[in-house]
Amino acid sequence: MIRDKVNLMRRYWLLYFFIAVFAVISIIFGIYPMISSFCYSFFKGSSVMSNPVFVGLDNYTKLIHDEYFWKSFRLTILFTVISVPMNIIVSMILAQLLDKVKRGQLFFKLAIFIPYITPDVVGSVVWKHVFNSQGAANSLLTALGFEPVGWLTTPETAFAVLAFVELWKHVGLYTIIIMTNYQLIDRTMYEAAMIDGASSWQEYFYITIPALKPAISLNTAYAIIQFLKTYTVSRIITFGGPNYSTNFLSYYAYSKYERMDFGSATAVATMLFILIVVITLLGGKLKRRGL
Amino acid sequence: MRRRTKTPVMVLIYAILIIVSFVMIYPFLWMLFGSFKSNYEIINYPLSLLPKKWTVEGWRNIQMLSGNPLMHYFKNSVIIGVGTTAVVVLATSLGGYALYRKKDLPFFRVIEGCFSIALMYPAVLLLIPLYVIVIKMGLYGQGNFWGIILASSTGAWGAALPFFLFRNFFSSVPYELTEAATIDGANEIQLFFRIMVPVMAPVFSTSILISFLTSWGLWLPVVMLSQDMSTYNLAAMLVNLNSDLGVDLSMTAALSTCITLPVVILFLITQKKVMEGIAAGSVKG
Repeated sequence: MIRDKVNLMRRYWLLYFFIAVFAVISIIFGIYPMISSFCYSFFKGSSVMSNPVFVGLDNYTKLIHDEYFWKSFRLTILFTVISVPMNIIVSMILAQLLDKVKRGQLFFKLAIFIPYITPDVVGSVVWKHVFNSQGAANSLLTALGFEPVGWLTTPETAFAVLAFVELWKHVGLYTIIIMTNYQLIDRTMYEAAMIDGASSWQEYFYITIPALKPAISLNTAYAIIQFLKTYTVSRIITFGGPNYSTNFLSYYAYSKYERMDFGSATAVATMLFILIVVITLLGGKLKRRGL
Repeated sequence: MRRRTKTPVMVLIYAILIIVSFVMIYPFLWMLFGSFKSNYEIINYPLSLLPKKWTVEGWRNIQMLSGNPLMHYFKNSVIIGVGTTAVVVLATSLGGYALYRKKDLPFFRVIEGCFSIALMYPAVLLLIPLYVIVIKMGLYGQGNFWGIILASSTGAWGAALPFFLFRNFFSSVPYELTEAATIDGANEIQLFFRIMVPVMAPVFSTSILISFLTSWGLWLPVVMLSQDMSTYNLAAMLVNLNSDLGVDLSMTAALSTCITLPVVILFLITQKKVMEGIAAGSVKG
């Protein structure tokens, strides 16, 4: 067994050079920091850097009794539960609409996609000023005869603004993926359905959606991981507020990190990672059952 | 044969798409025109898009940021963008090739597994230990970009999509093709350069583009792994400007335009390739 392996390694030794850089970024800058982050979570606060004080599960027990942690946990899940279907549904609608138009299709496609390649900090900064109390959003409301809204000073609306900015940023990606898959669908199925007298709604629900199912579930998986990790918008737009209403787990951990509380920051990180892994595994299980 | 959509419905579709497109590009218009407005005008006339009175005040004010000229940060953006792209493409193309050639070699699956797990970890929080690693490796310090570039090249930031692109590309190359060449006595290096590289041009250029577009706007690894602002890029400076009290809106708009314009132009020139590439890397991903 081992002999075989050694022989294999000897024969293909050059391939180890090929994989070297990939190995460095996967191990030294990938798995190793993950493991050390996990280890830090068993040490007291800022002690990790200088003289580590082992505290066992202390950081975790503290978290379990920390109401802000649970609030942050619930918010992160709520944000994901709202954002994922919203992104998928809007992207499916946009893909359908884009498919219908001939003239100007490229323009619309570019307009929808361009936020995705725009640096995230830029989008966040600009939207932040649009939704400021004296920003364009409120001026528009006033001009239309409505009362101005405290977009970023009311918990519910701040949460909604972040969901909107994330939608703005990512929906183009999902739209392009759905469109690409849509174009792969066998056109003869639609012709057959038309001859059989199916309505366009029937076509959509009996042909298009089932054919897009793999793309939809892949998009969903991506979107879940991405929204659970939401960070930039709360860091730039709301700083976790108002009243902790946008204090997502990534941001919560980061704010602990800024206070040099590495122990509990990494404990939060570990909890978030566990949450992501559990949800990913559950998703895989549902997929295997054909849901 | 296609269904024909009725005219009123088409009008509605166009109306919706025009509104959606406007919302999507509104921030770009805001920053572009805002950069030619005075602070007073941005604050007092938030609804008007075009400047009532054109001024280059914002642009003049960003020429010097925290003691360095704007070009300094622009140059840093290029260094970080190009450096990260180079490392990502080198790692994922060669690594992807090695995994395609002989996945069963000892440690290969482990390496791939490490890469995939790291994708799921919140990148923000990876930076705490990365900070320690970068210091230990001596890659931290004034004017040192290596820590920033290597940390930004991991799966947590930009390497995921290029990796999937190369993996999907290699999986479409029949195994017999390379195996036949080994029988002729070609070694792995010859094999890669003679058989793979000539057909890899499209996937290479797509990966380079996508990596560059994603690494241009990175700010978190830059902020956290820089000793001082001498290694900040434009995006990091925007974060910096934004956290100051009493934000200067015309400066913010000018700096935002300055960060966005290069990637938007690059994207518009290469849009077909980028959108197809991103869809392809995700379809089977």
